[in-house]
Amino acid sequence: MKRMDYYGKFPTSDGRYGAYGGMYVPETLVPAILELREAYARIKEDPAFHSELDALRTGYAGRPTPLTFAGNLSEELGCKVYLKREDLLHGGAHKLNNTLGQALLAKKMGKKNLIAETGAGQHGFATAITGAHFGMKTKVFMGAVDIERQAYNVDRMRLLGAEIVPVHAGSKTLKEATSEALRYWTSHVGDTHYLIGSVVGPHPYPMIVRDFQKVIGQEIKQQVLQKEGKLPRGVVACVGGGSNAAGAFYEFIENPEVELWGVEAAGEGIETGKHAASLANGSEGVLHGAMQLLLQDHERNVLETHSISAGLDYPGVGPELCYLKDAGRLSLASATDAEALDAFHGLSRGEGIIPALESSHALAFARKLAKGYSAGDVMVINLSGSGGKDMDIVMNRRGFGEP
Amino acid sequence: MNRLEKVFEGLDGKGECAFVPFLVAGDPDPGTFTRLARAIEPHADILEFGIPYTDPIADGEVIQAADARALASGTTFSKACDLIAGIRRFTEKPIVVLTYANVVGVGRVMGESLATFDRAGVDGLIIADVPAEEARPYKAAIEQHGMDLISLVAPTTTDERLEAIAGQARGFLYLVALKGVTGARVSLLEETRATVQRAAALLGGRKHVPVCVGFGISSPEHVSEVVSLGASGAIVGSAIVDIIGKYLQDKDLMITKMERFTSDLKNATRKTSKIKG
Repeated sequence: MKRMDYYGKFPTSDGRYGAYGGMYVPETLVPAILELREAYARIKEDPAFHSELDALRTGYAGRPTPLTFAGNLSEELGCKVYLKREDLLHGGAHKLNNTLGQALLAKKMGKKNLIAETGAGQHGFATAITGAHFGMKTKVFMGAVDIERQAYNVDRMRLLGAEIVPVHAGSKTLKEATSEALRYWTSHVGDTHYLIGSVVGPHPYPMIVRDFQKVIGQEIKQQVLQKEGKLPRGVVACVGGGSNAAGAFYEFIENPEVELWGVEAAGEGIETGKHAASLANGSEGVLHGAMQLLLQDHERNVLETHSISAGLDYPGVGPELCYLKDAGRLSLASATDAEALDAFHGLSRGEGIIPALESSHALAFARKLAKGYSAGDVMVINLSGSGGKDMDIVMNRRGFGEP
Repeated sequence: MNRLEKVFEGLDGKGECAFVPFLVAGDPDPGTFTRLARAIEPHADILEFGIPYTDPIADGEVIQAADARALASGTTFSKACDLIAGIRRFTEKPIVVLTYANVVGVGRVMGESLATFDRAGVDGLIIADVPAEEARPYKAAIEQHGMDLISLVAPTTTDERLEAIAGQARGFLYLVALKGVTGARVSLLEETRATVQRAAALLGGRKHVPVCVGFGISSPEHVSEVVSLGASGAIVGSAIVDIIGKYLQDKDLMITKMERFTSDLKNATRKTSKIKG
């Protein structure tokens, strides 16, 4: 593959990644978004901000996270498999990278309150952690269905002092929670920062979230070079909104020899229509402030999605990943609910690591990808989160198996 | 002169302001929607229709519920346009639609959807999630069809931005009266008063499109008040749609209530002597 001349070019000044991105929001929100854009441009160049964030990352969040050689899995798959252990970050997922960065930014902007949307509850949990740490009042919007299927995270958010706002509209999942958070923000733009949890939303959010998450890929590169003396052949990450994938991939975009694999949720199977694979099956559309690839019907109503994993259950996907797909830099794959469950059990038994159901999609595909890899090839799978939150779902679907 | 310009000129002559009632096309079902539109038409100066959509981020609970009712009874984009075309057959009053960027679409899809709106007899489009920064391709394509893109301003819009938006505006300027989403409010907010007065002061005395005020305008008293503050029109959505939600079990009573309420709202645009915006 030809080397892409990428860094510094995306997004463009109007927030575009090719045809994707932009800022599609009601006028009421525009001044707040422009304010955020200016504030971020300032702190991006401010060494004091970055040293404060670095101190939080190392002293509070637990960075750098390890890059674990998965010996049993490597033997089974016939190539060298490494796991980037974002499950070991405080909060049990990569989400804290973003919430710490954004909350620090919000504090510098003089905002007193944080709001967030959440699907699996991981972003809501990370926002609640951050809110408690910074002494900021936190409200988390969550679909009623997700509240039910992620009860453990709901309890943890409440314990941290966050208020959970149940959303009963539509499919009662992440899409509606995001819409409701945007509506609430419209009424409270003065003192409230909307802490978006993925590389979605109006510009500059996809850029800000990617910038705070790109530490994942930077560490992978450094760690894998140290351990193997070469770059990986492939980096694999699951894609819902796309923040762990964007974070893991960004550092490698200009390394054409590194394959970047985004694994979407195939739900009950792409052919059943019950899935959440927007990159592979979506068409251009606007959702939650950005042009992106969107699962929609022929009259442009947004479709309900399906995935066993609440964090991937979203009909859209970040604009930068859409652009990387069109540019041929991002390769796409998908894993079904059943395949993800197999991988969930497999890693638990094989490596003593319980992966999140989201990350289990990446693990499931790794098995297929490895068929084309030889013994010396290195594959890095971004283990974006821990599966502790998914115990009820797995118990109900399949149980935990015999010893 | 297009239909919107004609209406405001006619109202100016009579010393009246525009009353703009809003319904979601196909709410609660196609047949009842058409009856409701016929009931409000005599009192309206401009008719505003929402296109039912799954993800209306600028709308509060009442209009979300209306969108859900309309979608559930089979009204998506093309059916909504058919219904609007049906209304166009019995009225020459201007019709504007409220919709979202995703419904309008991009590229070839945008071309098709705008042609459909045009054929249905639509005079103007309000696209709730397209701010000035993203408006250019929409505005050009809409104007090619001889329709107007209605621009929005809000309480958070700075003076400088407000003047810039008003300078580009066609049809009328939609002044969002409060920080928040659509929905009825008990009394007019201080924020609404201040925003209407600010717009009237900034835009008064110069040649600008008329200013119509919407979001939270819920009663004849509110209408009188925004008119006396300098608005050229009042847009009432949620308070009207609320009647539909309340009388779903008795459609005849729903129509009667709607007829009476919109008549009262129109009268409120006549009571006050208008201060030109």
